[in-house]
Amino acid sequence: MQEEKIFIETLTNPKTQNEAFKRLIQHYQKPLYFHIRNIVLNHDDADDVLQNTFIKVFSNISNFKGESKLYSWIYRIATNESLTFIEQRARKQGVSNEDVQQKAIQKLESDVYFEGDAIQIKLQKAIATLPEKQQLVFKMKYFEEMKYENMSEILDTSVGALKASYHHAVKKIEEYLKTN
Amino acid sequence: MKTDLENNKLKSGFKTPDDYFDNLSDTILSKWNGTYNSEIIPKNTGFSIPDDYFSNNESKLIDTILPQKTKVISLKATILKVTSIAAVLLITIISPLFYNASETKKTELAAMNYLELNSEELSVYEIGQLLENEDISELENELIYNDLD
Repeated sequence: MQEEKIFIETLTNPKTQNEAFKRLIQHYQKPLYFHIRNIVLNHDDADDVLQNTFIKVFSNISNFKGESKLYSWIYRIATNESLTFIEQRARKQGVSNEDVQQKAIQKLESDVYFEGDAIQIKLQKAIATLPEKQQLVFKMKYFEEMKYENMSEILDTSVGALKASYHHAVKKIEEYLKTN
Repeated sequence: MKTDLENNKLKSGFKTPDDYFDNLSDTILSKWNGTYNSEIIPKNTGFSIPDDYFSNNESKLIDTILPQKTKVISLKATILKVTSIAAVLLITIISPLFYNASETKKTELAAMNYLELNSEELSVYEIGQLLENEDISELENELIYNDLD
């Protein structure tokens, strides 16, 4: 905790800021990229959202009061940026968020940065049938193997509710995979 | 107890371009510096104002902003003035002509009346003064004709 406090000071100090930003990116870039990619599905979109997430983190680091962990604060920004990205695209195209997601899944087959096969695409289709929050819970637990305590801070939901949500999500997905 | 999905865990299948993460921090930092550094986007706009611009500007602005009182010229009054002037000019031009004409008529009539009423009492000398040469010639001719008759 003390270590994080010192690191935040280096992020806010103009003299040490640039180097601290670089360390922050290098530490979070991979897990944050896949967290975003699991939501937006396409590499280019994930790249845009990831860069915007870091820019937003740098812009608002002086407002970070340490009420939550830096880790969960950054993930919260990344999650919001990803969901906002989908909403903006849906609004621009005059379709629903679900339609945007369906289109992204359809493009996975020809995506050069997707190495999954039919079962992975089927899994994505199954996930798309879940409510938005349940999708997030499933992806963060199943693909990212995140601890419930960390998810609880990021999604501002109790651990018990998250466990129940994940359990329901798994059941629905298994049902979908069996019947489709 | 783990479900089938958890026992046979599937990967997402997502991957990135080769070396994507190698230069990502530099890319983001240059974007950050490019967007927010004053070297590229100066914080100062470069606009300046004259000294004491705002101290004396209030009254000027009020004068400019508040509507000016517009002088209204009455069309009715103007027409009345023009008509009056035209009428005076017309009277001035026409009345001497009319006056001269009427005066001439008055003089002739007066002379004729005077001759008719006072011809018996007038002396030859007075009549001679009232008559023109032509009148006298005419009278002489009449007398000649009368005598012939």
